[in-house]
Amino acid sequence: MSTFVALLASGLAEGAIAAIAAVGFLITYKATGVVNFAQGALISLGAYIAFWLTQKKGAFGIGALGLVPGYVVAIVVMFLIGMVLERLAYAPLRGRSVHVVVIATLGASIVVQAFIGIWQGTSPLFLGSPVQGDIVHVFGAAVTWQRVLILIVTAIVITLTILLFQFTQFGRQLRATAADRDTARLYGVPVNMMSMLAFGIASALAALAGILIAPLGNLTVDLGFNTMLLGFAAAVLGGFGSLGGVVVGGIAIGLVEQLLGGYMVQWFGTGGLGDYKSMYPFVLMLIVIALRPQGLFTRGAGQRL
Amino acid sequence: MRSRRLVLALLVTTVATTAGLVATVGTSAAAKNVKIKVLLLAETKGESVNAVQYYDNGAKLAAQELGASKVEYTRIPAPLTPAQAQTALLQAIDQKPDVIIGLPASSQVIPLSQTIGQSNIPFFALSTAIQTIKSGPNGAPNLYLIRPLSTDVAAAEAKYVTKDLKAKKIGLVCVQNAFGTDSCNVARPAITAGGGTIAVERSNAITATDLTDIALAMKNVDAVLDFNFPNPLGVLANQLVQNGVNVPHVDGASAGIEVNAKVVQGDALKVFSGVDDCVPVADKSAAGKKFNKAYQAAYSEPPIYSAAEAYDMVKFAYAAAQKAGSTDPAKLEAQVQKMSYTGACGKYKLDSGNILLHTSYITKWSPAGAEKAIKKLTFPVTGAPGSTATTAPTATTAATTPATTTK
Amino acid sequence: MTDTVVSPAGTAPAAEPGSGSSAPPRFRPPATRGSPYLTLALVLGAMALFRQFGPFGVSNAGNADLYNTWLFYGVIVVGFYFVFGVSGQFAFSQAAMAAVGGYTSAWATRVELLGTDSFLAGLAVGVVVTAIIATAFSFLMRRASEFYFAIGTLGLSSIVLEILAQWNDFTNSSGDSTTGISGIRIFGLQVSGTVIKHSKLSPKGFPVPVEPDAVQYRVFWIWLAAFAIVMLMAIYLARSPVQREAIAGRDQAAVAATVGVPVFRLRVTMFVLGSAIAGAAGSLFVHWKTFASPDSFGIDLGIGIFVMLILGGIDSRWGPILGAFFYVFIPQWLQGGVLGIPGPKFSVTLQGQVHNAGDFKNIIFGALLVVVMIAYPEGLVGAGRGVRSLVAGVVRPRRSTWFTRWLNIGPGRVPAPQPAGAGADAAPPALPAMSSAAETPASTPAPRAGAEPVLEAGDISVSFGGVHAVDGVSLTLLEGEILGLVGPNGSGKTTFLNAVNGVVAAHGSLRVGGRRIALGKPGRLRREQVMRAFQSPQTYEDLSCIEDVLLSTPDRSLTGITPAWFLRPWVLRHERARWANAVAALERVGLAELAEESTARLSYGQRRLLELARAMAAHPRILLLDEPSAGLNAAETDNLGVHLRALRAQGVSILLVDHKLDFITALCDRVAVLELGSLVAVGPAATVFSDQRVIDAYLGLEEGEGAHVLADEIVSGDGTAGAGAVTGPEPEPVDGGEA
Repeated sequence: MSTFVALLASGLAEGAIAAIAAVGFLITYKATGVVNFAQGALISLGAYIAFWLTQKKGAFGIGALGLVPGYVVAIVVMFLIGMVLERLAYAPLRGRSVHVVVIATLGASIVVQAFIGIWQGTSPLFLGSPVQGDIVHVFGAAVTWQRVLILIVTAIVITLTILLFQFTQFGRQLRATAADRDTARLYGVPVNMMSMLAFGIASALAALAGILIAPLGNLTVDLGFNTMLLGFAAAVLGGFGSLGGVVVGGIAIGLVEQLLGGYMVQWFGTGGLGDYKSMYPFVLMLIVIALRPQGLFTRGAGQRL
Repeated sequence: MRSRRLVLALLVTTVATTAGLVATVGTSAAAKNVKIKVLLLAETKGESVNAVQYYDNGAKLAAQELGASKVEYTRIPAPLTPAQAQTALLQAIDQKPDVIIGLPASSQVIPLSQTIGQSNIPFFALSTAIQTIKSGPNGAPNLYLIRPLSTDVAAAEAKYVTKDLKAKKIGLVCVQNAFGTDSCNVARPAITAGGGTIAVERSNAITATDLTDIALAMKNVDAVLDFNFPNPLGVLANQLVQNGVNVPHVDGASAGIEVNAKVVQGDALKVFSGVDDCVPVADKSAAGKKFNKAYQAAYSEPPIYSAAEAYDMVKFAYAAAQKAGSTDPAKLEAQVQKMSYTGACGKYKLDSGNILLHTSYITKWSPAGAEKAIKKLTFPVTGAPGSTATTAPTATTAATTPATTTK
Repeated sequence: MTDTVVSPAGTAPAAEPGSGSSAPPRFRPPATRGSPYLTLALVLGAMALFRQFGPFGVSNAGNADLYNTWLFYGVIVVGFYFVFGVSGQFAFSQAAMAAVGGYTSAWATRVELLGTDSFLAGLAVGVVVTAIIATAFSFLMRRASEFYFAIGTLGLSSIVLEILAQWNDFTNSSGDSTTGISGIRIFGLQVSGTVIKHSKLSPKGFPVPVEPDAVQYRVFWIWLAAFAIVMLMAIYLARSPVQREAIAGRDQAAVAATVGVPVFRLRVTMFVLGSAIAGAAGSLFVHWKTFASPDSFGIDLGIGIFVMLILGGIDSRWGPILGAFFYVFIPQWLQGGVLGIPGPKFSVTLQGQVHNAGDFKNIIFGALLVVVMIAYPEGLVGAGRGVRSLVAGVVRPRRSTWFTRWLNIGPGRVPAPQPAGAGADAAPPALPAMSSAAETPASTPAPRAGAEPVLEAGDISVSFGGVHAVDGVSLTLLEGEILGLVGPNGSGKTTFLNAVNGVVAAHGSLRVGGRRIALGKPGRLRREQVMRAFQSPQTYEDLSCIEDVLLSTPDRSLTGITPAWFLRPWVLRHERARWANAVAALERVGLAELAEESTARLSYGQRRLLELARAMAAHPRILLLDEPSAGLNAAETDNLGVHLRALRAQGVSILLVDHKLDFITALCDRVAVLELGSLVAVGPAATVFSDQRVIDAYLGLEEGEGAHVLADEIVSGDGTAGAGAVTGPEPEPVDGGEA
């Protein structure tokens, strides 16, 4: 029982990680129609900024911020970086096909990763967390608070995002901008501000994802890229573009990797199929693309890609 | 500001080390200066995702201390990918250095050993794989191994766990690569020989980020003997304690990286220990203290063993050239064969397997992260009883990870 | 493609304006023109000379290794050129495919399997296994859209790398690098690996590794040969039907399918071809190195391959090798110089750490990727073309490529009249008079009694998210008749055609020539000799007019890649026949003189005629035309009518959607009226247009040209339709190009 609960908790947390990584690029996708391949690099960058702010010397020698204030500042900084990124990398490409932006995001991703390597080095670092080392016992299974925190924050963030998109003036304007930029402008929607905000929010969410995920292990440059691959799998399972779907998709891949993978090791031992558990999410993803390219949980063609 | 401090430190250390050198090397060096061309084959911080600065920092420091009239120091970055490392190696050979130091990973040295052998340039590698000893399938006469073999270390760790810690039921963890597989292959009989039993054996991928299942399997063991990679090691150290497995957790050189990165701290750190070739920050020997001071002054960070080894090797090569009175490979290697040299990381003396360093330390850390040596491990020279290299190593074998021994 | 690109109109070989009108010019298919082989031979020769006598010569193993690495990347990226450049498939899997080929080949040449002396057999096994995996993946992804495909290839790469890291029995390693892979041995020459040396002491011989210099030197020729082979493949494909059809499938898949191009098969073929080339390159690579590690083929290389192709130039087969050159040599140059050129002396101190120029190589590559794409989407090849035309002193208009259009940047379509600089003497007439017009009988035949139905659409329904765009329409087209289909905007005419044609999902039944045909299969319909022309002309800007027409050729024999490589004489024979047929079709619509021009240079009306020519070249039994007269002036419309009558006289049955009611009335044997997705009336024009329901439903809302046919008093209501009816595209939900 405790094994099951522990593995279940691991699976759910991994699903939440995939989901929170995916929410960021889904927002850019919904607002601009672009799949942002730089989102992974932004996740790493957010975590590195948080690390930088909370170190002894701190940013620009101002001294260490507390963990939570450091996190908040990092998220705000990433929000601003996102807005700037929109001005620098997306706005000049506006009116061009989404493909140009997609390849530009690939370029941006390479640049950001290389920048982190030069700026903070490449040896593994560690980003602290206020709940570092705390554990909670559920049915005899020890679950770290960090994983519980990820689950909670992911739930809140996705709920808020859905509410934001569906029920606020801002959400309506954002959707209008995405659907038809020119018409939206005619109706008085501040379209430039909208896409800046979309990029800002996506980057802030990337920072949030990085800050939550990094304390689980080491902080390395490719943290974000690996997380983003999982996020892609979750988003594909959920039907690209559906925020509710990405949660279910994320949980599906988390359970497949941790729960199924964990039992595979128990049943077949090392050297068996359990050794391959980190590829389970991608196998699942390929199966879903083959059988239900519109995603598991959406009807209609969810692929305005 | 920094540069002035650097110059000062250099001055102090140059004087000091020259004195030290004269003491260790003897008198022949004084007669005539043989300038030696040393090439470091390693990446430094920022050049790739896996790069660390220690090798370059250490080697550069030694070169600066000796001065440009004695050592010509160059570096070519060698990426971790063997194919790219080969390009770098060939470029290095083209520069016709007298000595090459580098290739931090065994996975670089093993595939490139042929090229190294064909170059006839004395090559001091950081490889720890048993295949790369002189008589091994990936060895070469001019390929010298700076560090003790990982398999020797693994056997010594197993002995430490069973004899010193007196653990009976042992949980064994092997990372899924050559290092993990080979180490576990050696540790298994060593555990049995020490009177212990392997209660659980598990393996994990280099990229694993959640090892809850392994932590759960370790519930009833007396000690965890772990041959792992930095990132999963840190994850496992924390998850073991979180799941109530508060038993000694012994790992290798990756342990220091995780502690320095502050991934392992608190309760997990209390039961955590690793193995390092030397501990320069806590070294009480004259050479060690000197190095530690100079390094901190130059780079404002504490040195680790890999910096000390790179530093030592530059000085070792210079000393050998002075003794030989030439940089001719044959003469140089003749000196390398018989020379004994004590540097910041201890005593280097070549054995029949072409291994230079024969000591390591089990280390632990204070809650603040200060490293201290707990036990000195001394390895038998190759061929002597007890060395894993006694039995002739076979060619790179397919993994023979057996099934787990528990349900 | 480059073969068929015609430099500015003034030099177009076919456009001899003086003689062209009387005797139609003789065309030589571009497949036989130009000298790509000579160019290739010259380039390969130059590379070999540079290798032999260049700044590093034979003795410098480090540079020689770089040179060979360059060719390795070049080969692998030519493969990617087929996948992404020609076929437009967004894939990151090229590096993983190289890993599959390399590891499989290393596995196959183990002692206990094929044996270490079986390099070529191992290579073959590697290529075959790679091709099988690529085929399976391609079929799995058959319904995936562009970016799903891209994400799928990322997933595939992860899976391949994970398997290589874990499956130690297969890789013969314990998770890191595999060593001791047998070397390349071709025709008795040991290129890499070990040779057996004999001596007096050991007469049985002992293995000695080949010297690094010798390996680098010998393997260079292997790589050069491999590069020559893939370039020849590229040339042969460009000079065969395959490339134009792959381009058609890439740019407008639905249109290509309706004219009979096997779009999916071509996509699979090109993906498998590119992957197999990667597999072969990977196999050569591991046998060259005699070791392998999964991280040689990591996702970074997958992205790097992307960078190389875009940097080099995506629309040219020369792009890959140029891009690979930059990818290999620029970082080396930044790190301190390469090929005797000293690197930049430049360093920055950041946080106490000194960084040299080489540390910034990734930042530079990332930034270059963005900059090249924004400012120079044609890549280095484009820059080369610019230099060439500068040297030649020709003012060359910037070319629009599929990539620039895909990115929606660049010069876009050249306006209909000839571009500036073409010169007055060379400008062909905007729309040449149709030579056949006078000869065609202009009589209006009476509907033949008792004609057989050739196309029977039964109860066709299409709905878009609950809206019934077409609601149970049954319509029969008789043999040799022109049936007009009219209705107000949004009444479902185009959707009905799309449904019959199979480019939108629909319910109902369909019989062609009495045989039942499943809906939703454009290719199947094409085989029943049903052709379709689209509402807004769907022509291919990357193809010349004649290539566009060739797409619909009824003779589809020897159009695959195998004949393109191995049966070239026979392919050429078929091509000549196809060309004659296409030229004839172009002549009939009066576009023969523009045959060699890119369709991008045609006016709107000319594009319509081109589409008609494409339809006619297929020798259809049934023609579905969607507003062919839209955008044509009165004279052009009359000419069109002449053509349609001529086709009818040949026994072609035509279903014609149009807004010009006088055109319809004059031309059609029968007229059917749609309103809100339902059929209102069918019958002879006179009868139908006097039907009160039709007047209410359709003409009451229509203010188009046709209204004067009937009395003025019927014009009432809100008159919304207006302009759209005359100028062309109506906003119906689906047009073939977007599906």
